[in-house]
Amino acid sequence: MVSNCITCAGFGICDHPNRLGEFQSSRYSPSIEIIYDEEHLKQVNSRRHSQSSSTNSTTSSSDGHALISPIVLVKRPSGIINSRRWSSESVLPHELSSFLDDVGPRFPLYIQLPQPDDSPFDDNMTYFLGRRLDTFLGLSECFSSAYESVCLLSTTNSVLRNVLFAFITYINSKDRTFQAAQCAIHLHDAIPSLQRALLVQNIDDGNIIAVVLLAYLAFWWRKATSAKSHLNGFLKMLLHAKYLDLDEYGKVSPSAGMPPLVLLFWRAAVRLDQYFAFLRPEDQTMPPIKSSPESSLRYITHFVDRSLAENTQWLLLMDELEDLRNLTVHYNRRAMTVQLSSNYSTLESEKYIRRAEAKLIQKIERSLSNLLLTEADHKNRSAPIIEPVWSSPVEPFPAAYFPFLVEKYEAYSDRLIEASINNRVILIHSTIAGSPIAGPTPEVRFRAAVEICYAILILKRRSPFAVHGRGRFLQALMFAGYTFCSAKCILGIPS
Amino acid sequence: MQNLITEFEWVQQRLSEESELGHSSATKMIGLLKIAWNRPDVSFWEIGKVVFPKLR
Repeated sequence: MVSNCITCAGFGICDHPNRLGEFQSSRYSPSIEIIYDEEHLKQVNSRRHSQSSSTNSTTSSSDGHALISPIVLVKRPSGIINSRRWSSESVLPHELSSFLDDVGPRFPLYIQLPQPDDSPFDDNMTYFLGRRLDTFLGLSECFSSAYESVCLLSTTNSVLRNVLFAFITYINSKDRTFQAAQCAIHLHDAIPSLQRALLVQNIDDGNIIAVVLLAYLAFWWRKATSAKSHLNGFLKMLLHAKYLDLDEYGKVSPSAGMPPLVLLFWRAAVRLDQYFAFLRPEDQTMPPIKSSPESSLRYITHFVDRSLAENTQWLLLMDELEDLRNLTVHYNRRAMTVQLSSNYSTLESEKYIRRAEAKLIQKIERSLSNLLLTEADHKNRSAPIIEPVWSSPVEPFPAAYFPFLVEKYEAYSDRLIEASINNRVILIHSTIAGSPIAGPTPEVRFRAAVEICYAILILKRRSPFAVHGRGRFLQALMFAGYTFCSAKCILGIPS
Repeated sequence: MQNLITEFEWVQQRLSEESELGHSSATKMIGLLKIAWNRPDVSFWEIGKVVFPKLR
């Protein structure tokens, strides 16, 4: 049994109750959801206006430009939290709504000071949270060292503190069932404050970071839509805080004013966003990201030991790879739009798609070359590769194609193999819009699929038991298998 | 391009191993690939809608 399969959550389809990502109790399953829908917000505002005018109360006018709509607390199943009677009809509790109307939109954020012992400092949990996020996101040791900064920030931000508590009650699978109610209570404490901050547009870094944590929490609860809406809200908050610059082409890039901690969570959000692009290609995703090594460098050098310069370079390349994945998703979507558009003839659309695909593949190949160069540089400067003490017999990959690739991958380190697998998956992904039929064409797709198989073969020999990150390999195997299906040999019989 | 059934089976075998280790994701992927193998003309994303309904 794989007890720490943390990337399975990326697929949202692991059903085993003992696995991370599964929320066992349906009784206490949190039902808090934030709606980041401007239309909905307008309806809410107009409803509030009509209610206010009918009661002749003095209300402050709303400009209809609140950053994010109020939080909707939907009806819960029976449980402890039901004692707090939130209505699914009124978006705000009546008292809070009246309170906000009275104080107007410029009311300063009310910050509840923490109790002296009421701070989520727990070394054990720090270890769990930091390691889990680092491993899940491939941000080696960034979260582990950032956790203290988050805790410090949480002492002056009740939203972040409660969300962090919610995280901590959830993070240890053995405690999860028993602490589910506690987790929900923390969320119910966090949400109204966050709601207030969003309504008056008085958000700080703690609120921004809390939304990313909420997105991950929703994601691990298999509430993909909620997680997605949190990510959209996070994006709006960053734009509002001017932490992101938006250029004339709709591309975003972190501004110079984005603090390292927020930058780290921005990268975490980008990585989470990629999971939704995997099988929900029609969904809205993060806008195209203008790669900015300088901004990545700011958070990496802030949180990673500066003496590990080689590690810094590697993390920079990982960020670049994630940006390429983001670009691939946008390319696929754009290609589908062009294919369906009546403005282009079939030949024209084919020509544009091929041209864009070629550019994208060129970028992906360049990224792989950079990975290889960095690894080669590292090898020249540091310790030799450590051979595994034990290896498992794995059936060799039967391909008669590109046999030299086995030797190539045998010389790679584990992390280079993992990065190469990600790179090859992105490459196959980039060919699907142009060639949507399963099979080994174009040839770059076929070669990438063979490379994935060789890479996984080597990794399985070195590390037969799943420790972490198996989810990405499964995804890679799926892409490879898709490539080996061919319309020319349906059911394995050449037609 | 020759018949790629051996390569395809190798991938299925690896997924089966992961499935036996407890990854139900792998089981779903085996199902997706079976459909793709029988109906390579159907897009990846269309198959995904059937096999991964929870993500949608």
